Amino acid sequence: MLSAFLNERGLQMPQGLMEVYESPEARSLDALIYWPNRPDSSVNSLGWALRQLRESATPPPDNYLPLLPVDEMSIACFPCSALGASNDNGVVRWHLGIVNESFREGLLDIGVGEYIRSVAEELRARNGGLKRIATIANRYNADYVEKGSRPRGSALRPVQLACQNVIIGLAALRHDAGFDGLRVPIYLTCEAPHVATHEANRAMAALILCDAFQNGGTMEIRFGERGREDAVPPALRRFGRSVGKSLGMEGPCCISPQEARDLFLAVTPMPDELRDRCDDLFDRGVISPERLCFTIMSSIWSAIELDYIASTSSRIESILRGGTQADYRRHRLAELETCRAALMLGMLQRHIDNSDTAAQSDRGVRVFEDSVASASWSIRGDVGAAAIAGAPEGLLPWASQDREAAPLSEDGYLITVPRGLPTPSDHQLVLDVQSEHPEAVVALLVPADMVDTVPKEIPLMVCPDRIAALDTDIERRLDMLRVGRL
Amino acid sequence: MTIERSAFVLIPDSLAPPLLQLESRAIAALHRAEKLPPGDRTEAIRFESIHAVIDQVATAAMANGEPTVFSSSAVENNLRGTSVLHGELLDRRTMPEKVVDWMAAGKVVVELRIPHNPGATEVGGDPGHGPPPPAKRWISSGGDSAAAARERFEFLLSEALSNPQGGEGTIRPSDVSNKVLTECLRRNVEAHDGEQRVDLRVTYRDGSEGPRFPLRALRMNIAKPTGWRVLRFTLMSVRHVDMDLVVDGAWLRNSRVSRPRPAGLTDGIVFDTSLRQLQCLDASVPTLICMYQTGLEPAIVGFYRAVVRHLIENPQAVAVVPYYYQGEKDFAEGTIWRTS
Repeated sequence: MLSAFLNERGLQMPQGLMEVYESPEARSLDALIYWPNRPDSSVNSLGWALRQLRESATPPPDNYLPLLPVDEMSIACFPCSALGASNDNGVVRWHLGIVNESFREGLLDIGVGEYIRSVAEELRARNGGLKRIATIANRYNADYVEKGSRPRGSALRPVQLACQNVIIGLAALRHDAGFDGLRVPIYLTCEAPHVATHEANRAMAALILCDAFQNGGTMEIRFGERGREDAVPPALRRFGRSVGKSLGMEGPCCISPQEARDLFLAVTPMPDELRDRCDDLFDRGVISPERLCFTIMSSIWSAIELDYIASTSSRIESILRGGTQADYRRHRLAELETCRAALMLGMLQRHIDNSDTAAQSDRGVRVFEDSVASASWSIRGDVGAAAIAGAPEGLLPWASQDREAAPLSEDGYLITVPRGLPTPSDHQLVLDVQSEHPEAVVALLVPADMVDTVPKEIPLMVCPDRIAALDTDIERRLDMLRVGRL
Repeated sequence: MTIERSAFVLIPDSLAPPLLQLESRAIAALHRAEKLPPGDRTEAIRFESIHAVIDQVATAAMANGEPTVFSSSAVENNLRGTSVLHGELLDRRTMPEKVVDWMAAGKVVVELRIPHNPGATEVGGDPGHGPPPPAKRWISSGGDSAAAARERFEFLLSEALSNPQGGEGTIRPSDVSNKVLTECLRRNVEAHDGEQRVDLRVTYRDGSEGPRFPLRALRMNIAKPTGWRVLRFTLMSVRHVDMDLVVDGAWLRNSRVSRPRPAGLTDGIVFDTSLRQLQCLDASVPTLICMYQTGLEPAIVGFYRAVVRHLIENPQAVAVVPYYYQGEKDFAEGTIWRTS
């Protein structure tokens, strides 16, 4: 069957496939692998899987060889190369249902052999891990939840990741003085049909790294228990390979501080422009990679907020250390103005991402969670403005009631000029940027109590918060930075 | 990247009196802030909220077409206080000529430092410097968590002592237990033959630093003195109220020490307070202090730094016996801090 599949299409045999089919790991996945030598009526035959793919909402190209199911609605496939072509493709995930194009064909692993061995190893440890995590959760409940006390970093703490009521990750972790790092006795993740490929691993890795950073220590992460250590979890290594990071290279049971730094940067979502700016900040020694990732992942500053601050302010070093003293008012105002603009921009992005477009839809049942979008942005550092794409078509968000605003078109984008204290030169800037970008909607974004200072002819967006509320939020964030780990 | 400029806004005469009232309230808040313990931002926040209103008034005046002068040179000044200008001209300031004229005419001007002017500004830092290297891996030689924590702290301390001028030449007390921290510092305060005194930096996990800690600075004696006046204290008040029957008082007020602020500031406050209190003890009568202590690393480091400094200047004036909390009314006696 496999030869027929390859020969009919003029494809090469995937490297190492036959060897891995004969391996003990593959035999342990007997009920899952789509075996080429089984009758098509069998649910784990190649013929059955090919039919599933053909009947999927979007059938894959015909060089996709199904290997085994990822979950009940997706299949791990290997895109076989044509004869004579390079044969180093990775294993990808093909969804049987309808999914957004950007989430299709997520890379599961860099090779067939690595993937099958890794899944076999992961599933072998899963049942034992589930039993242990239940025990740990019960003990934690009795020791801390019922008593209402807060655990120290050295206490064993269970964590659970869920997305829309589906559990996609379970782990237990604690700071271990034995190596001054984080010990993770249990690490379990899975793919779910409605969750992006490796998202559970990305989120769990981010959570673990944030905990390791917050608890102090070297950032080394070790798995299993002291004296009975486990290798770096196969799912985590698989995720690492998919993002080009090798884990466990300095020791099979640990993620070294250098690997932790690389992984932290890989799991922290940053658009390319922000990543470049952050690289520049690291190069200048302004901030450590771990602190910057923690700042974003713990939502002290979101990615767009940090991007704005990094793009527009020479005071980023001071801001990331908690800001200058209040009595240096002139310096403080310069920092506050940057922070106010960044904060309003972050609020606007969240507002756009969470726009309830289902209300205008005629598609029947409203599932609000499914309509959450992700607006992309680009900061123009030279003028302190942000271009935002992905805002829903129609009314300008937060449009001022007392002036006309151009509606957003489906493929148009918004350029916003956020200012806490808008000056006449900012008003002129809005008009200049509009003439530079006639295809975009350009508007000034100001706090709720600064509307009256803007002339009527300037397109205006009004942040729901007043300056005092913005400043309170900024103070809270700067306070966290003042006492946080450097 | 945008650049900063100062906008000097002439405040109309009708708005000047209420704005000056706001300024005086802001100044009063700043004066009150100076009386608060370091890190207490209550009055600083009040100052900022009042000044935000001043800034809003100035912005509205600017939008209404009131005369405004922009200046880049004012970026260089480093003035403290409010940014309301009136009365006499301040020295050493590069003030635009027009603003000088306004002030000479008795007008009120507000300076707004606006960061969003088009242009290119240097980012801070040092290109090519790079981020700090990741920490080195370390593993304990065995034992339980407490033993491992002690071993780790001693390891870091010995590294620091071997190269006090290097980047790692610092005491890192964060997350070290009360007993480990006190005993380890006690061992290293003792100067053995041929050892020079080393004043090490103290760096907390939040990056803040306390005053330097003198190590290898004293000849110590482990014998408990007899016939000395004995005073019993808890290091901090309202931590274990059941100790109130046992002690003569609390050395530090919890409400003053346990505040969210950089740990280095807390360390400095405790050190200053402790040194002052030690100096207040009657020097003619040597005193044995029994210190019943719980956690909070900056308090411990600050207190024992003060003890060491006091012993350097007054070798036989005081001795301190630490008692470590182990459970309800259960304290373990530690090594005495006393000079020979």
